[in-house]
Amino acid sequence: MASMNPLDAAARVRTLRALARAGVISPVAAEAGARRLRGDAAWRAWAARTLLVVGTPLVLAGILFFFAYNWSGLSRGAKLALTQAGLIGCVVAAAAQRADRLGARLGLLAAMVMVGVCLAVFGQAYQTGADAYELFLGWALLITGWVILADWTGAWLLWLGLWNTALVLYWNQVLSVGRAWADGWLFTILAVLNGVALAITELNQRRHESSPRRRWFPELLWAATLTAVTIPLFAVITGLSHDPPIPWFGLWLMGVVSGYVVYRVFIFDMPALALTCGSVAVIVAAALGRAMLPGGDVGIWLVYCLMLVGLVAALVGVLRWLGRPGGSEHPGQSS
Amino acid sequence: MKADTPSLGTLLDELEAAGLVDATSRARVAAHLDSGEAKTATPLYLRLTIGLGAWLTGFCFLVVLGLGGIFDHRGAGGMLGGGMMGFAALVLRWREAGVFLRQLGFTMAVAGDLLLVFAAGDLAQGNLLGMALAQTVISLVAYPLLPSFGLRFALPLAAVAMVVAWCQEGGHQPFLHLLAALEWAMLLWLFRRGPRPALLEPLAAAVAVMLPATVVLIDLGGGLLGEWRRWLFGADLGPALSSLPTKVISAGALGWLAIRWSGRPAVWLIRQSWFLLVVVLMFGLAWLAMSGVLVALGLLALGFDEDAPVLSGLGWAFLALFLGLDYYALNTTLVVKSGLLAGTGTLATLGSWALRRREQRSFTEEPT
Repeated sequence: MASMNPLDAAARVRTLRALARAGVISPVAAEAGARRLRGDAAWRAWAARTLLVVGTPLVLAGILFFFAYNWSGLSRGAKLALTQAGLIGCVVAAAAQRADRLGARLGLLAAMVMVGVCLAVFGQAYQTGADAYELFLGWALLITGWVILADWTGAWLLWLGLWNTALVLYWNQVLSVGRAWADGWLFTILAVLNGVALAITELNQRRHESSPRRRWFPELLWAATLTAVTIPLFAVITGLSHDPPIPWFGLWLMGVVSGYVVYRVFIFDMPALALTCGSVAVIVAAALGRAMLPGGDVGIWLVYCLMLVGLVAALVGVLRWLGRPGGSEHPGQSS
Repeated sequence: MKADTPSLGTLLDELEAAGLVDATSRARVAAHLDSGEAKTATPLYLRLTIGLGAWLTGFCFLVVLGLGGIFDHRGAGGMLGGGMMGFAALVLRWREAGVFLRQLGFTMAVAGDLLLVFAAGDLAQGNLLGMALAQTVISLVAYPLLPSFGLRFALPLAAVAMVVAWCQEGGHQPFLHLLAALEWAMLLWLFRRGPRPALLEPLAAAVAVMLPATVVLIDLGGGLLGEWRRWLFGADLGPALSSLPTKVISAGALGWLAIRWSGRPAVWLIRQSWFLLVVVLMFGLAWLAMSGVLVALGLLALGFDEDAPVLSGLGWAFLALFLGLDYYALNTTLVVKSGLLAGTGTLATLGSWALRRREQRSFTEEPT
């Protein structure tokens, strides 16, 4: 476990200023500390990082646009050779640096993007009438090895985004063509996909508890999963979909209950709990609106407004109660 | 390349050695951070929930009032709006108010503000300048009276949005440069080093959003925004707006930040080769790119200096937006565009490499 002594944590400018605001140290001391943290070396490191993060995509975009300009004049072989040379260049740039450096990671990410560009070029050069989902599916499959080796959140995000896109396209271009399958099933599959990714991420984070926890990625995955289980029920309630409500209610209930239990009992995470409670509030508001508003007069609208205020107030109250100091068994894990 | 960041304990030791904190400060800081007192600030997810809820229910209340015919009697609507704002001020200032009452207060403030502005618009016969002045007065009066981060954040933004709408509608686009200069001045004043009073925190956040938003309109004045303006206001576009004044203002503001942050006299700074490089880059950017790129870079630098991830995130988002707009606004062929992109990217990457090399060299040359 990481040390719990707050003085062992890395000094932050915002911590010093918060301490000054609270009167624990003087503003002069806080500013002297801030100047120490924001010295010439820190600024140079920041500038180097910023220039790299800005420069890499600009170079890639420039190369892409150059080929776009000359595209029609190039032969098939030249097109494929150029894109693959770009791919190899990115891999070489990544391999030339230490694996944990930002430059190596950005280089590998660029190589992963170039795989997709190569596939798109191949598809354009040799048109077979294949569906677009195959591009994304092939792309995701081909970069899987790199993603595992890189073990970097940015790479995992790209990989999952490709799987989600491939699934949505496969549903629209193959599965649902000529069949009366409810769109809710697509959201169910997306929920399962993102939910499995979330479970693996959480298990992985629990296995490496000593390393610093970055909660934004699992929180993003939970947002995707929760959105996928909420949309079908919301659509049924608001009349956008005419499916029977029971399966989607069951799916949603399973999602919010499991989310609440996991993030309240096992991994205390307030933003994830806030998302879960938000989903409940959205469904309750939609159900109230459906029951009260059609044909309602001013009085009904007023009552609905007051109920909405009450609902938001209840949501805020629940979140405050959940997030109160000592409200979790693992307060140190709250993000 | 990673700058060496000391632990909080080590930093306090250094400050103690310099005579800036006393021997008991370590224990006091540890006790304060352990007590949870430092964590009492309302978390972002809660602020978002409260804010979104207030706007949603505020608009629902407006629907109710609209159904009740209040908009047929704007004078009555204005008085009701004033009453609602007063109610909101009372509720939000009452320390014992529960969550429901506070939420109702937020809602009333939003709906009341809109009713007041509509009433002012009615009095001014739809003149946007009148509405903008009314919103500015409301914001100035309500800001200190409504103790809520969300409302204090939204009120200055609402006033600036109305002023911008007036500039767009009436063909007063040059005023946008004045607005941008004012916003830069506020940004530099609010983000000067040192603890900021809690009262000014929402204003600082609002200014960090309103400056790039204003500059978007300046950069696109008479260009891509033309169709939008024609659709929204039916106004004659007039001559295209030059963004040069805001570019000069933005480059000057960044130069001033560099001088201030270096903590050294401007004369010393001017003699440094790296500073000259920064100046050349700034003027290059000001010449080639949109002024928004400079503003986004300013936000990124402020975000780093303030150790504020939200400000940095805002800077990155606006940088991506302005670079994208820059690409579309370049009135040239794709091959020139690609050359500019690749050339700028190569320069940036080379700059990063040079900085790393310099850092490594100074590390190895440092006497042990």
